Amino acid sequence: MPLFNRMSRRQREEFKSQALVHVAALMCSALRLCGSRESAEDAVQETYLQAWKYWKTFKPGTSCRAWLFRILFNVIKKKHGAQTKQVPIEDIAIDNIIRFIPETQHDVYEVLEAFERLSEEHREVLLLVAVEEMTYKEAAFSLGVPVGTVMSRLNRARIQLRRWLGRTEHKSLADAAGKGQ
Amino acid sequence: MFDCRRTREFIDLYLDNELESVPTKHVAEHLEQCAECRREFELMRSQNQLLADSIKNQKYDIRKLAADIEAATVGKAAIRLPELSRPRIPMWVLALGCILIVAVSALFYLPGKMSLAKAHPLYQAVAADDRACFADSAASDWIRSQPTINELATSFLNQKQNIPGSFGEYRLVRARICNFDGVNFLHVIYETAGGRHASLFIGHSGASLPRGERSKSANGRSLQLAHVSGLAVFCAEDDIRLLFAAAPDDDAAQAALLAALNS
Repeated sequence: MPLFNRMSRRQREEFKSQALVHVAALMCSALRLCGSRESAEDAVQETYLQAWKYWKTFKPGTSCRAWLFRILFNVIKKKHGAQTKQVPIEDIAIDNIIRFIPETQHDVYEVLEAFERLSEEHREVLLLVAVEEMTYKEAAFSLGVPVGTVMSRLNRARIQLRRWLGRTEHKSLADAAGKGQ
Repeated sequence: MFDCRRTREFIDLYLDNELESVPTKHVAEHLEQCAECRREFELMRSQNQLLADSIKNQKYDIRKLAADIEAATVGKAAIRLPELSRPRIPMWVLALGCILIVAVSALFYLPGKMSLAKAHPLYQAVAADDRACFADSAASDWIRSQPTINELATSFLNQKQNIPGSFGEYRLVRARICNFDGVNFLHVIYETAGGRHASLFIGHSGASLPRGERSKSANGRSLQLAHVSGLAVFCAEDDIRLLFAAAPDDDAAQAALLAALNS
């Protein structure tokens, strides 16, 4: 395919500066969505080959990262299917991060285990908004759903996450919402 | 300023920086004053941060993957495209090339399938007579006796020539005199056991060989060929004879003519 991809020098430079800088972000998410490291690598590579092939259709001024995530999710769904097993959380570079939430003493493993119990669509929306810090609009584009759906999925994902983390404050949150303090 | 319920309705949006400036201000004011909501918000933020950090910090060396991807996309194009690049051929040149290829192919293919020249009217007459005689096989003027046919043929042949009694599977069955535009021809009909037939017409050689649709050489003889009304009509001449052979297929007609020329 690349042999017949007639890209101008400018387009190649744009692809390099706008798309290739997101390899790490895509790989991190793929590792959390695919069943193995090899599948994640395949998915990211396939994502970039697709992006390269259709680079001329990418609209300048829009979010390239959101576009790449959209391709990634489609590739994972088509080629790898929904995975319930993720790459082992032992592979996390634990030395680089704070290991627990000070308020609850939940550590990184508990948070990730709870994350992995989420449904695929809840994991996707959390990856985009909480991890990649995308706007809801960008996340909606990546997922191919309306912004309202992003908001509702995000809300449900966070409630679910806190429930599995045994967060008693979740109850108090609901109570607070009910009481209208 | 919002109360706790309103604040917690907006707390996700506030956390994700998705709130407009006015509600953002209200939520911020409430969080500043309400310890419980502030604690809840801090917890959500910590959880978010821990999740983001743990996912972003993988024991995975991205450099090789990034290099592979770059090589398969931008790198490959940068290296290979110049090698493969060639002058862009205008569409009209490609179209002209295609037309030339088709035309040249047609020159080789079509002569065997189509009439490229208009044949002499005698070919039409021969074909028409062959059709008529085949339909009129029971007519009384047909001569079916071999000696009588040979005797009749003498006026069209020299002393060394004969009418072939057969060729291949075909056997002479009958003959009669016919006339094309005032010129007499001996029409001899051959048939196979399977019912296939071929006609041989023998007349006196004229000033020139009637031209068919195309020329053909066989066994050292120069033949003319035309396809008329679904029949192959071959024509040739020797010193005194003008010969036509007609049959539904080329091979039978050609074999009839060659048999007559060689007999």
